[in-house]
Amino acid sequence: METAKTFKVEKLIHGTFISSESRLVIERELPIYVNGEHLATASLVPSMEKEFVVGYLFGQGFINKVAEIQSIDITDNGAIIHVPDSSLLSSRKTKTSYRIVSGGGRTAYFHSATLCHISSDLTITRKDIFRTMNVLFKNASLYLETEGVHAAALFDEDMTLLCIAEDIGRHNTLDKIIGYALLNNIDCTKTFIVSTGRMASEMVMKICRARIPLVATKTAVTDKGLEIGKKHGLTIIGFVRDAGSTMHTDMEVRVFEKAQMKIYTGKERVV
Amino acid sequence: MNSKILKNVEYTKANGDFLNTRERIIKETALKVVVDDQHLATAMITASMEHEYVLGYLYIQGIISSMEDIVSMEIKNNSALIKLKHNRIQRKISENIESDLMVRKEDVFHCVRAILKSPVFSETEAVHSAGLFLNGNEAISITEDLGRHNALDKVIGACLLKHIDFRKTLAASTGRQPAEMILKCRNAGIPIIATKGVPTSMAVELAEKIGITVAGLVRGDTMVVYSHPERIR
Repeated sequence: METAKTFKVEKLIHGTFISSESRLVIERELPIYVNGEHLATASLVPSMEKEFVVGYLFGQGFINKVAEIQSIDITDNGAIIHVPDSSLLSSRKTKTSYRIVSGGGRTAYFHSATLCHISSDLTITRKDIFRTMNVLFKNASLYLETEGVHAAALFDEDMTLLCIAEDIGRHNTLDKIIGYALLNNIDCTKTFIVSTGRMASEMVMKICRARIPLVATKTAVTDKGLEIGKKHGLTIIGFVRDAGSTMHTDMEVRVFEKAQMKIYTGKERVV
Repeated sequence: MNSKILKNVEYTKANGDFLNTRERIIKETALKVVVDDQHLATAMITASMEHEYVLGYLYIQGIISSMEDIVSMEIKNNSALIKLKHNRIQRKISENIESDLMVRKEDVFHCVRAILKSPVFSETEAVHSAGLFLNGNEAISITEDLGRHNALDKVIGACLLKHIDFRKTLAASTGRQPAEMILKCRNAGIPIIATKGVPTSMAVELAEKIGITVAGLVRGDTMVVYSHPERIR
């Protein structure tokens, strides 16, 4: 499936508008139907839809494991899911209070009270954190082409890249990689995530629910994200910026001369 | 110091050595929106301009037509309690934008630059900004929020309070523009949106269809106009 599209645009160059072309990331709506009922409609980049749906259902607490799903079909009309035992689903739906999350959109809110503590003996060197962040950027082809997406990647404890996802929503990138891990029976306690997105509460909750012990992001964490991560034993590293990396600020491009990162919680996993 | 929107936390700086230090990070507040005793939604927002946020949100959702529809609003303990006029008329949201607003390209640069001066962003690098500009040059409201959607709702609310005609405004926003942001502009009646980021395919297709001008990659002295370029001269 195509993930970028060419548009005719007017570009202002040296004070004059010139007709030109631009590649934009494709955003598409994916309605999700569970047992014939419309659960939600996601707005996403059309890639890894199956992984996305599994990660979404899991992250929102609609399923506890992949085995609860009998079938998933990604069709032109949406994602068609069959869950034989829908008791969890219906009890979740009646208890759901809808939230407007900072990444945009309304979502069912997963209560952190039901999350378990993450137990994992994963450790990682600071050098490997920079290295894996660089791997993320090098492989984020859609970002490089359109500048219009977030990216996230899942690595195992040997620093092997397991999966990379790009999407217009930072939540969607997590749903995609967590869905991938679930579909491939990966032991999440032996993995970690690198991401371009801010770690707000709902991002951290998704990671905690998957029992992934560490997340490193290029950007910030919120107070609630930090609180939830700390409570459940997640290591959160923010502002991962390797020497020589760049960032658009205001109207300029900022270059980081010195490698830097900030460990907000779970420091014992970083050596 | 802690504030309503910032929290002082301890962290470990790892620039070579490990160094324990402190800084302020952005706070996320769950604001419960209760309309006529019914829980409408809970929004994760930056706790500033809560009144404006709620007004903007209700307006965009078509629940209110103007300030006249609000009987009372109280913000307490992270809840917004709103009472609406009973005999209010459902707001009809026009499918297309009708506006003869024209702006100069200098105005577009000016507006995008004006919203990038947020002190909260300088400190935390964790917020989006939005602004609404009358005739594309007079700042009516500029603010920031964790979410770029929320920031736009806040400035729309601020304009409602000031009885501004949205058809004469330009919206500036930081970051990427998905279709939902264009829908917010459509629902308010805003004809132009400018960003230093880029829109998505669906955003541009929608904007082209309903008559909204989208300017992106507004950086330095360059910009790209993705739809309805006739409004920028």
